[in-house]
Amino acid sequence: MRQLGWLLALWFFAPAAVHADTGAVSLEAPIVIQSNETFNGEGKRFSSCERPAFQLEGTGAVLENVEIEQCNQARGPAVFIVGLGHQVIDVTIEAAGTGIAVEDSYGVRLIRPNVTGKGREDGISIHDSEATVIKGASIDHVRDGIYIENGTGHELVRPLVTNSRYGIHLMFPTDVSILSPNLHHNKTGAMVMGTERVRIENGQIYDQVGASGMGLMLFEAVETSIRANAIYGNRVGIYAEKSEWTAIHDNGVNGNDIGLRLKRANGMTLTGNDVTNNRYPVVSFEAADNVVVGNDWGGQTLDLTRDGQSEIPYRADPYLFLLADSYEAFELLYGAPGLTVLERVLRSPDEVTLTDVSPRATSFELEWQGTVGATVLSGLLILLWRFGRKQDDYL
Amino acid sequence: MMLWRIEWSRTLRQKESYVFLFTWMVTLVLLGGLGQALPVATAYTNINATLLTIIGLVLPLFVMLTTALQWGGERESKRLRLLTTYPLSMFRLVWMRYSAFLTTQALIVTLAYALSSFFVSMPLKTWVVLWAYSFGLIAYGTALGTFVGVIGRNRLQAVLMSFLVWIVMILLWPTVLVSVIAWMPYGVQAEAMVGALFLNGFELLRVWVSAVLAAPDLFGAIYETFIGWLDGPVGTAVVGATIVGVILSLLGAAAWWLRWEGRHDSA
Repeated sequence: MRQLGWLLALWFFAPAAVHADTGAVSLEAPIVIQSNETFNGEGKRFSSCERPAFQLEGTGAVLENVEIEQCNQARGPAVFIVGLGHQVIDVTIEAAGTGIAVEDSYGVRLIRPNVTGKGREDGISIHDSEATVIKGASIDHVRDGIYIENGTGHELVRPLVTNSRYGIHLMFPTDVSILSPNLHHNKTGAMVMGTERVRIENGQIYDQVGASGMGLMLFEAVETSIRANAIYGNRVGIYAEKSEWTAIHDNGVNGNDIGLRLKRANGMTLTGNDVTNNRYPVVSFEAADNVVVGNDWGGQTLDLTRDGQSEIPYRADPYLFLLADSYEAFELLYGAPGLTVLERVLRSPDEVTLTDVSPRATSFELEWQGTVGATVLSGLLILLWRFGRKQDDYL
Repeated sequence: MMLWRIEWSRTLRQKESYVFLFTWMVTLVLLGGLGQALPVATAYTNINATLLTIIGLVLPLFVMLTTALQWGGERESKRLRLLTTYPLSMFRLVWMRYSAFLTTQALIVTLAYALSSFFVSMPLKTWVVLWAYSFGLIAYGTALGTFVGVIGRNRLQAVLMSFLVWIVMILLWPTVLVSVIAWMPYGVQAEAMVGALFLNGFELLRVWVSAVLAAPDLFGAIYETFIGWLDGPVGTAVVGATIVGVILSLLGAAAWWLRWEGRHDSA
């Protein structure tokens, strides 16, 4: 009987022992991965609090296949990287602080990092580094999804950032490529500030939230190239201020309240963009020396020469926006019928308007959209009209 | 009820009704057809915004002019005096004519929307909200036209007065607001703009329909809370109550004017 009791007790406590094996390994000090070492966590879960869980130093260290959770009080990074040519592969982080911090590094590769935060710190932050490559990052609910300060030659491929302040935040780096980004439900998709030669291509940037929800925001950015992106459902699709020599080519900027908002943005090239279906296609003021050709604005067009280009130029008048810039309360007048008259009367001078001399001609299309419901409703209303007429007049 | 039906059949037989139907169908099909050529369909686009602007510009003018013209015609042909001999209260008389005209216009606009939907593809919610906007504009414009038509001494005066009302309430409204509110302290400008909405039912309806169709941030951060509220059931109820209240007041004022005039004539 006593033996049976022991057996039962052993059986009862056995699952607890298994649970202890699969639970998070608590780390008081970081696991430091030195030059040319590889740490393969094989899916193990580690938890850290005040200090990073992993620290990569030297040259060519590799961290792969681990899960990290930070305690709620954590402020520092879960993974800290410094040095040359390190790789972080398939790392999943539940971060209270920064997910991955890269500092003073060269050629670091972050492959498929997955960071879920608490909205307090950045998902991935890169300071004073060069040639960082981030591929397939998935980041949710952090302050800035990917924050890059200074440095040069970074490449971000297919980053997915959601529910954050800025999806991607660039502060003063040069030569950055952002390819196929998917940025949605952030306050701003990408904030590009003080940069040179940033390239944003083939992205899906949509449904940013809030009254200032912007798809892309450029501030004092030089030679930025924005090509073949779908930017839709934002308050402002692309905002550019004090930015020069920006090239905006072949993008679809649709379904935003304001497609393009340009302020003191000079020397820009806007060609081949589809800026239709926005409430206001473009708002431009104090923007000069811009080349604007062959865009589709969804305005009045007339193609006499049958070359697909309209002979009627497109002219964006910034009257109301200049007014609302001084008196925010007048924003309630957007779309007021009387405003169209006011805009005609108080037409802005040509120097402050943006003019596309040959916009893409819009074709008029009619397709049969009939439904049974509409047919029945129309029939009933016609009958009602017909029988309603049959009354004798009283005088 | 008999008189109402007679009024209704008269309004349905008028040539203006057919012109109105044709105009709306052409407008909706042209704008909708242009929108159909575009690749992205979202709930609130510049096509909808253009539709709203055009409806908000043209519909009040047409409705006010037609109503004022009818009342002016009644007065000129002395039918109004004859009608006042019927055993009806003045408010009932005004209400009967108002509701008959409103029903006719609602039928015309609904038919125009139904026929246009054969060529224009929009989400059902957008159709319903645009229709509600049109109906609200018709109800409000008809009440204004009724009042103006009743106080006008003849058709020309009635038409000129309703045109003047349209110019002030639609065309010059932004200019008036910009001129007045720019002088106010910055801190109260937004509140003044919201208050001004309730002075002009056409503007109130426009902002309401924009709030329903678009995101709350449509008019910027400063109005985000207000637009969110306007989109909710309470906001919609307040807008509805305001419009109905103004309509009843205008009809009551028109009935009072007719009564006062009748007494004045008999004296």
